[in-house]
Amino acid sequence: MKKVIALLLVVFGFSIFGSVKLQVQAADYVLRVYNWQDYIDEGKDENGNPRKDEFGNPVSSVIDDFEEYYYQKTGKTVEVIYTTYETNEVMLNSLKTGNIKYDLVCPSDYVIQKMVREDMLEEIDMSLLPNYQQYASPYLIDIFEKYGWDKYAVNYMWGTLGFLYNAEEVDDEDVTSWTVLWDENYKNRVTIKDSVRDTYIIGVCYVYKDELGELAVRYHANLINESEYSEAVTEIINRRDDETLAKVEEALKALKKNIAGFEVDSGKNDIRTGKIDINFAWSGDAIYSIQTAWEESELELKYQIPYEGSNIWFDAWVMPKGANKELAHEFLNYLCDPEVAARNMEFIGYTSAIAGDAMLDLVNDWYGVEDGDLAVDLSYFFAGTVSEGKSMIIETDSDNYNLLLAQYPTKNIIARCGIMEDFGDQNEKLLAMWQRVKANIVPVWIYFVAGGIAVGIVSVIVINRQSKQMRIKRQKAKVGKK
Amino acid sequence: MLKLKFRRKHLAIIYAVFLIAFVVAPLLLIFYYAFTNDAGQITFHRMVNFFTDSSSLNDLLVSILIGAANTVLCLLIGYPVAYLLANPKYNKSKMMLLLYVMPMWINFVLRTGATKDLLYWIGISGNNRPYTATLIGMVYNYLPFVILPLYATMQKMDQSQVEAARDLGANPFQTFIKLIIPMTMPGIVSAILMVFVPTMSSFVISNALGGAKVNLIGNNINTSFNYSRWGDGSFMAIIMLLLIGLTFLLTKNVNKEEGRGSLW
Amino acid sequence: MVKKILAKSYLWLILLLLYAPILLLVIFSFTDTTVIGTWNGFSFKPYQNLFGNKDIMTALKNTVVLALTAGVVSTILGTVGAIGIFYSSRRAKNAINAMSQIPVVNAEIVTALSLRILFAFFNIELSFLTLLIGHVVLTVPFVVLSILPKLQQMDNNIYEAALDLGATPSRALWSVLIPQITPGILAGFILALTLSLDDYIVTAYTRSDSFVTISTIVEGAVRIRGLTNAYRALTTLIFLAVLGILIVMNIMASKKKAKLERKF
Repeated sequence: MKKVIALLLVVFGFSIFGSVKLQVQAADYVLRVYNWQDYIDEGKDENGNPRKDEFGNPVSSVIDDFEEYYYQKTGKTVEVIYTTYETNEVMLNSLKTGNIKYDLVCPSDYVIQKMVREDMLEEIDMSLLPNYQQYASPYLIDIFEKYGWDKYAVNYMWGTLGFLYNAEEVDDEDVTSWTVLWDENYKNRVTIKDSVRDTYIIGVCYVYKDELGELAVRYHANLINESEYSEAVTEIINRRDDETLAKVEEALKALKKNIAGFEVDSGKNDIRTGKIDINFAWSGDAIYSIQTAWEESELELKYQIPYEGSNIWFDAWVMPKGANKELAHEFLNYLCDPEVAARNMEFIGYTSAIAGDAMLDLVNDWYGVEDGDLAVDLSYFFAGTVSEGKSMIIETDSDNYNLLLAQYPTKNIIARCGIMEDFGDQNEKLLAMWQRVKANIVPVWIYFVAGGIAVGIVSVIVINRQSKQMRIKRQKAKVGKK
Repeated sequence: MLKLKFRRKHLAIIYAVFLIAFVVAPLLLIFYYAFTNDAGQITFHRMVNFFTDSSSLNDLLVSILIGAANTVLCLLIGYPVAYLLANPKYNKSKMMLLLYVMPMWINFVLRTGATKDLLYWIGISGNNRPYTATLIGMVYNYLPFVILPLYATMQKMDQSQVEAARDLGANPFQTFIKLIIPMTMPGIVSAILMVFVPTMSSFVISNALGGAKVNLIGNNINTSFNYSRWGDGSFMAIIMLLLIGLTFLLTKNVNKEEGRGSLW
Repeated sequence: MVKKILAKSYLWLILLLLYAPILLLVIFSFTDTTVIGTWNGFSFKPYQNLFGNKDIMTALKNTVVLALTAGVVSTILGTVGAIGIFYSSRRAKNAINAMSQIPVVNAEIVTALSLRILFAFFNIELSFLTLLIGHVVLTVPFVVLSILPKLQQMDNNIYEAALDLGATPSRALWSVLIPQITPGILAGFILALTLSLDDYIVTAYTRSDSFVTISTIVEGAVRIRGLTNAYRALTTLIFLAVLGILIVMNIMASKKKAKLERKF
């Protein structure tokens, strides 16, 4: 008996020690960063093990590098607690209901609008971000200023929404329209995202495809310019009145019958393994998949943004109220160093907001082809951040063209992309609609089966009761006779 | 000096305080959030919405059907297993029983992942057969929970009554229906309680195996919560509580003899 | 005779089906491949991947620490509670018992949601403490259920005798009462451990997102990308560990039996 108690106490002691050790921080400072999954280079491979670069040297994690950099710079140690989320909604939920004190979070544009509206953020001090000021693309900074996000957000990655598809199984023509998702030829071979706003884009573009088609015609006839075009598209994709919600709900319910499923992260792998042919993807995931598929099995995947129009999105760092501003700015500035930005970009596949000489050289390295027959003008993005006289036109060939456009869309493509806005009060209705879309589709015969079973159970109970009563009556009668 | 005499029963106060703080109070909060709107006023709109909206009713129906199907399948497969394990004619060692219980000790999420891989290997996946895959995963997960209570009841079964029935001329079928099943009813009821409602309120298995196409009430509560819609999640939680209460009511008569207050 | 063969084969068949997914993972944990189905020659790479994966190793450590801590806290609270309940008046006993049964019969997601809402309502930041509370709420009723029967079977007179012989109430409690219910306490502790190790839903709702357990890391993997081969190695190791415990238990049980038989 005493031995048992002693054993229990030892076990208890160890566990308390263990849990205390988990809480105690060895470092001087702690920085809590909450980011999307797979959105930074942690020096790991697919199995979560440290990976090696082409020379056989271990690749370090950007996070560890920052801790090292901070120590070199200030002599103090910082521990970065880095956690991840899969959707904006989960992130907001953790922030609001979990009361976890994050220093840095990386939401998407429409969520930043919501957070600004609800006064959840600290202001950015640009003077502490020299790298951002010097190297971030002025084109993106202009957009941020136009929307008033520049006071609160530092752009991290940006891109578009479109189709990642298997070029061998799918006709290039088919994926130029959103309607391909409803196409029965591709039944069970397409997936969409389990994310309410991204899938809403699909629905709304489908419902208003005629209107979007007209806009495209007028743009190509030079009747409207780029900014007018993208503003019109922005207006359309952000329609949130009850009538639009109802139409989108119908369209999405019909869509659900044709798709193989909803996914958040498995799509970029499923298409490589041949489970699906078309995946509704963010441009960065598409780039990652296309490159990996080619390396692994010489499978040709391509990216296409439908002609009706799509969405251009921005993920940016913000500081929730109460964040450690000094540390957070240090981390952000570190991320905005062109070399670090290039590392992240290369590993995760997305396009960084950072420009500059180093980045331009990298892009040339990846996509540039000597004497290529195609030329892509990236001056809209790089102008103002590169050295005098440096050419911002990438010469490339047809093999790399599709991938380069996925990474840096041309101004024509951007023209037909709108920006997502926060739905404000209509959010409730939107989420309710989304839950209805995701609900089970119950075929009519199930109702009959369920009804039949219910009737069956009730009748069994009733018959049981009846026969019991009959038996009691008979027994009473017998006793009475005696 | 007034010193309260220490009685053993005072120890209960510590436990009671803990329970009130972390079991009762949270449930009261659930009721609060289910029946108030964002401004804090009492409202029944969630209840109205739930019962008039075809998609939430559909989800409820599907949940009940899958719960029932899972229970029935587990009983069909597990009842013979328990019977054979408890009958010394067919099984003498305890090893078999332990082998049947062992999967319960392997983390259930891991087992679900393993099931997903196995089903994918043989061609069933969330893409083409979400409901089948989900049901298989459910049966696989809950089978040990059915076998255990049934086994416990069958162990206590009085074999002499069975023999007496045989001697009096009843054929195996009659013995089974009229004698064995009623004698094992407490075990069957235990099994139903441990499987029916938990199936409806789970979401891990349907998420993993159903490709986000199978929507049980558990999934809906989870999604509502992820979207910070506490009110809706809370209301559906109350629906779950109602169903639990209902199953209890329907089966409480059977359990009177068993004395379910113990695990020994 | 035929009946016996049929019975045995049915038992073994169902057992095999029950273990099929796990066995599949075990087999494919010895080959370096991403997709199950292709055999790339014998290799220990998945085990290298497992031990080189810092996240999984941290999750493993966290899970064990959490289970042990929750187990101990739960056992202590449960013992206090059981003793208190046993000696309480009938009304108090019924009330506390009713509250204690709630987490047992409740759907886990309702328990999890209610706790999360409680913490959010009081603006409590999620941390190891909130997670611990969640696990204790989940497991303590089972500890109480393990100890109460032992209290009922106990000889009450010994406690009174100790008091008569001059022992203080606390000494009597410690040296007389508790030793009689130790089997129940131990069983409760093991039960609490098992429940804590296997839990996903309450963990997911009450943890700080930087505290990862095996359940949560596997759930993320299963839902999003599928299990990498490191998880197959993990499954194999857990399977072997549980099998090992089973064999040890069997050996100890037969040794005890042999000892008893020798005495006679």
